Amino acid sequence: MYNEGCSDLSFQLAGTLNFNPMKNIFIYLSLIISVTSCIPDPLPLKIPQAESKIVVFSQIIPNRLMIISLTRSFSALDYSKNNGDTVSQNFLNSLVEDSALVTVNYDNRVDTLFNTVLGLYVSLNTLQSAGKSYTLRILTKKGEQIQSTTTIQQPVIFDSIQPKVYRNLKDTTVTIRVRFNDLVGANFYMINYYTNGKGRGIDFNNFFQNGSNILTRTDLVSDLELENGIYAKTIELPDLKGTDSLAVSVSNISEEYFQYLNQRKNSGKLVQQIFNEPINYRTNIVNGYGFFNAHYPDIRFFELGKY
Amino acid sequence: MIIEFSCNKLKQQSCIIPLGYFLILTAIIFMSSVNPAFAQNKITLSGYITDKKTGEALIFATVFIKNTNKAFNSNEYGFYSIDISPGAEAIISCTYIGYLPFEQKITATSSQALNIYLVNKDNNLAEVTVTSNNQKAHVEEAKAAGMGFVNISMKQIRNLPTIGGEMDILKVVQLMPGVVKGGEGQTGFFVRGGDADQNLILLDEATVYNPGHLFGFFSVFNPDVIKDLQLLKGAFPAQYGGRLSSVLDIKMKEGDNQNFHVEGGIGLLSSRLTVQGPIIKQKMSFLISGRRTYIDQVFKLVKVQLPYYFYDFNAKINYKISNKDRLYLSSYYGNDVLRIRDSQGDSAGTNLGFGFTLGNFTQTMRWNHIFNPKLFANFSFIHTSFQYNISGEVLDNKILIKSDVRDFGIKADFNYYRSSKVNIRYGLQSIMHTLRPNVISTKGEISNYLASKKGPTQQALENAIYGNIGFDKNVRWKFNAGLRVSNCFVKNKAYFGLEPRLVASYGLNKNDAIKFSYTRMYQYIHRVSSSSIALPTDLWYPVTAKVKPQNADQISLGYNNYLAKWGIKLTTEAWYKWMRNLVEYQPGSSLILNNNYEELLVQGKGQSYGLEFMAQKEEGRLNGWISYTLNYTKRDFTFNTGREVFWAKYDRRHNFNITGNYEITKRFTISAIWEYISGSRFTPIIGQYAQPNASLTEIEIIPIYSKRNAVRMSPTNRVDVNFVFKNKTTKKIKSEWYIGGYNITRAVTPYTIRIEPLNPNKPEAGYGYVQRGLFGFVFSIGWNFKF
Repeated sequence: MYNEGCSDLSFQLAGTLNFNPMKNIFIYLSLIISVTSCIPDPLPLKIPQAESKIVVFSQIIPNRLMIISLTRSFSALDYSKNNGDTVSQNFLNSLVEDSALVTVNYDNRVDTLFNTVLGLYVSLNTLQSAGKSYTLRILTKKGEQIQSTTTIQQPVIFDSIQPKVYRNLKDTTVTIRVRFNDLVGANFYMINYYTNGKGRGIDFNNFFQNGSNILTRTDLVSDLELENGIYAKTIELPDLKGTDSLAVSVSNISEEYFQYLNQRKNSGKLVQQIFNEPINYRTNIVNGYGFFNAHYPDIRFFELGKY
Repeated sequence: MIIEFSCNKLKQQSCIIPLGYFLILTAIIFMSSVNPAFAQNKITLSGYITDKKTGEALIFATVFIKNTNKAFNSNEYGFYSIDISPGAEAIISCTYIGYLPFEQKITATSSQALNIYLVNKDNNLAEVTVTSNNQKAHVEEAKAAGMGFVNISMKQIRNLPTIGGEMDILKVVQLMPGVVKGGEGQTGFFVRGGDADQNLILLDEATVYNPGHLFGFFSVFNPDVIKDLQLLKGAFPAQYGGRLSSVLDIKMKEGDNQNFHVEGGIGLLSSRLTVQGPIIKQKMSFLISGRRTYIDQVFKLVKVQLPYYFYDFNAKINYKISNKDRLYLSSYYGNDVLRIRDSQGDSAGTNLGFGFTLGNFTQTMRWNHIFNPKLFANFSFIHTSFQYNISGEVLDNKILIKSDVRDFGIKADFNYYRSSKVNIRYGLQSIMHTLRPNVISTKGEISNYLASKKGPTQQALENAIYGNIGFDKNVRWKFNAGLRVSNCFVKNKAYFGLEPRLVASYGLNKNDAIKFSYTRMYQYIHRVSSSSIALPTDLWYPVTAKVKPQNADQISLGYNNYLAKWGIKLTTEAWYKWMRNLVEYQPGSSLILNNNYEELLVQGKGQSYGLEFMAQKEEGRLNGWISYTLNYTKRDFTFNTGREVFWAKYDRRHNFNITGNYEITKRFTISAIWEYISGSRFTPIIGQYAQPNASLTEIEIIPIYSKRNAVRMSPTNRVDVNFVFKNKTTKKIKSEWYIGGYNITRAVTPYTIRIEPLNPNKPEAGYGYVQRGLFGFVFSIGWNFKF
């Protein structure tokens, strides 16, 4: 452990001595305080770390592919954002789990996802059908067995969606009117608004690269909040320009995933981690972390220059 | 058992109950004013016990009739009432710590007033020999039907070492058995497994919501104005309620009604000055006291900006209207002030400023009335205000965040000394709480992101009616039984609670007794703190339709003994406390400027149990105490993430201290404290993982926390010393120098666990957990004077 030592204050104090006796008395006393009140060296403490487990992230592009990302959790002492560490690609690469056997069971069928790069496992053949349960099984080389089950909810589609752009001399205001009908039963919805802010089309091929697509907003809505079974809202999207591209998606998600996203939304940033209550996020991964989910987003694209 | 009502007609309901109490009060006053024709074969001596020189009432002094087993205590105003046989000679004795004993023969044929004047031994405990009268007083205390309390003598604690030499009564409270301290140097305390908001702190009956300056490092109580303090941890008499875990009842001095006095002190961190004296000799007196830090001025001398200071102001007027009536007006005002402004000429034009004020304001008006020699009453009107303001300014943007709590209350308390064996106390209280958390005012561009809002104003009307009977069945058995019926009205909801109280004492031998108590308490307002740290800016909330009152049942079993040969009081108590409807935040709750607190709160249960031991010597050249507490405290909550049973944050298992004063000579005293306390608990991050966010635009590092409060920090092991040098006693101006050291061994008292580089010069060395302390060795020096 390093020795923190005394503050620079004592040296500042020493430098201001002059012939004023009262002032000197105060300064001497302050010097004594500052020197003698040096904070002692901190005490080390050993705290057992959480066992390293597999972390699952899933993404489905309907009727195209199912992607499972596998990484490993790591020690609290391996990385510290509070001390200025940054999330580099090298760091992420060191976390990937790229030698596991990953399968998806559904409808008496087992699809094996093939390993691509950086811990991404892909299936091109897994049919995604609403109402069906999918069980993800992972077997690592270390013999760890990880499992999770999710059900694809009935898809929801926009009943209507219409952006409006108000342009005046000083600025531009973008709003969008969104409407969809609640489905039968208890449902939970996620609505995402994306822009790239660069006048290009939305880049959905590079999801994992920061800066490709900027999330403007995510709304999580329980059907208990809907009036008469209809979601109809006009949303203002600040900071958008009239030349930007906009993509809006709505998905019907499971209640578990809804609660998980709510937790992430409220606690994900460093500032929130400092001021918020500690929380271990929900997981539906048995013997792991993260979340395995599948949902059908209805996505609509808009070039705002046309509105 | 809580009884709930939903009040659709709140206004009607909230008027009916106080009206009912008013009618009951009127009936009580009417009945009380009738002189009861009891005990024709006894007459009553009653009066006040006061300091002969200053006229200060002496609280809980012991009066007894010599050569009998009968002993009685004066009440909080120094009033006593005892029965004697008419016509027979009785020797009335009175003792009080730090005073010469009093004795007077009296042969009375009718009830009469007998005021007792005790002579002070001038703060010199060493000169107070343990007389047989003193011993009898201590024995009576050991065998009385009361337990779970500690009377703290200001004379015994004034020389004790503290941080920076600032005498702090709350730091002394933390040295008592059953009391656990929070973070190092802070004034927060936790009693028998309770939370910090479960302590009712009263200054002349007014609630003090925030008892600490500088985020809890110094208490708001100027020791020069404090006359007496009593800490109750269990077996609460029925006149106390509203908090689950403790009552710290602090009484201010009244002011010398015979001579003017000035006293004060100059220390490294603050100075204080108290002036008291008669307005009308022996009838009306005043006391004014002020204290201010000047550490900001000290640092200004060396051109270092530290724009923080705090101040306290106490004032009291005491008026003896007649032999039967006395009026007291007391007030406290204190504030913490921080003002930072960019003083570099503002060349960047940022207009940067930040400010913070936090303070209490209390006012109490009390009227004592003696209806007859057996019936003493006190009527109080109370106002308390606690508020804080945080302001910020940059460019043309301004933000002001305010929060305040305001109480208006009335109390009527009657003390009926029915006979030498039976003492009845009863009364009623009503307090209107008005709470306004998070009032936000913004100006400029910032108002686009954070709109001004008034915040919800919440009101809660808390009432209680109570009765308590103390009776001595025989020489061995003594009882104290009471009932408090409390209620609280909030918007659309009323809660009622029955709070039985019972203490039984059985005298085993001449000097000892075993005791048992049962208490139920309700709490209708609470302060919810982060699980990491409690701050004075944490918000107070009343109960609501959703958030129910906290309540607790506590039983305790104790053994008290007075070792007359050594003048040592031994107290041993074991307790068990069940707590319900305790309040915590849901995991992941955002605590910043969040008025939607109801949705964030979750209520659960708690249990605490433990064992306390104290050996205390109050008199003699060597005096002090040894205290040990073994304490277990758990919580059981069902959060939105599932059920958790966990140790409480301040489940500090062992708590041991030795506190002592030794008078080496008449002018030189050494005092010391040695403390060993098990560490408090913490919820560290023990792992992490990477996850994209839901919209796949960013990778977030997600922390993995241990089980709640799973890790215990290292224990505290600290020694403080203080040396006091007095000037010659023949001098007119009495003064003393004190030189002290806090934490003379420079031990670390951990207050947090952080992840830090093992060696900042070698990044490859990696990270480790460290526990940081706040203070090393802190030197103090100061000068106190009195004339």
